[in-house]
Amino acid sequence: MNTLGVSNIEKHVANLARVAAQKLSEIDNVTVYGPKDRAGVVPFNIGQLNPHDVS
Amino acid sequence: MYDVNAIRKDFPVLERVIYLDNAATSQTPKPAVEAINEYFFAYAGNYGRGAHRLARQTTEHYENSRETVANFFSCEPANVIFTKNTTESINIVALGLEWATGDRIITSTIEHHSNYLPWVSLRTHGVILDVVESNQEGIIDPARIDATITDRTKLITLSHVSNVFGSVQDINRVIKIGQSNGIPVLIDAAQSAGHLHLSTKDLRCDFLAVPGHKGLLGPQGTGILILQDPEGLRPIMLAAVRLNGCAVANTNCLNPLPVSKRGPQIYQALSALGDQSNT
Repeated sequence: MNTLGVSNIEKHVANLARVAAQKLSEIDNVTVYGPKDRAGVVPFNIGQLNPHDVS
Repeated sequence: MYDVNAIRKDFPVLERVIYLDNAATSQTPKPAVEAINEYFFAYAGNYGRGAHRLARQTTEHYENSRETVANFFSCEPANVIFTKNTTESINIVALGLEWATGDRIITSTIEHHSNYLPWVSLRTHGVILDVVESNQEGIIDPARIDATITDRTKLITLSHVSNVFGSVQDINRVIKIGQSNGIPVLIDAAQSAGHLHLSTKDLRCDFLAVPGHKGLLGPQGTGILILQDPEGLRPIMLAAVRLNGCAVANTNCLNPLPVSKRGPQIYQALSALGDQSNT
């Protein structure tokens, strides 16, 4: 991890999270939660479905 | 930037799955698994408790790991305690500080249970929890924490990154608020260590609770607690090695093992006391 550099990991994760949130929010019936500038956690719901069933 | 595909080769399971549950635990890369195998196949001994070569090698590897972790978080090895996970790191602080009736702790509504229940349990000591609300996006306004401080506030404890929202808290400001009021601050770095730059030189928080098995890509069963004052906590478990006497009648725990000198995972149990007291 020292070789990769945490700042590189940070940029990579932020980009993945941004793209994931954006693509998920484009899907009908999907609600994405959390701030626009986020770490690598992207919570979402699909309609009224139970999250346990979705996962 | 780095070659993501080359890195993925260190995680054979990723050839079969797309893994998105890193907030719970990450996959373990080959070098980490090989290091575990090397321990079992090449030198396994009892850490810090033997004079023979294998015990010395085990101790050396263990202390080298402590130094690596210390360098990663820009602190001294003496400030690093290895634990089982973030939960244990937080519990060591909750159970290791001295509490009095009327003491108050500030935390937030969006904490993981591991950074909530250990403080709730202190109600039995008369400790009061002040729970600051986040906004709809999971952001805690540090000014709310500042406004919640009383002269009985003994600790501020907050997650760096919310495991629910992915929101990143302004922990620099929270730590400064704690410092200017003389209140220790604990940062739960379960979702940020390894993902975001974390230097204890910059942060200067009193306690940093870190998982080994998430962003740091270590195995399950590893965690870290970084303390500014390694001798400032009461040990939550005791080891036999520092008892003043071993007969049941005169066993004395006045000089217990400091929390910073704890063993690799489990303390020496006091179960040997019975055997020793018969001799």
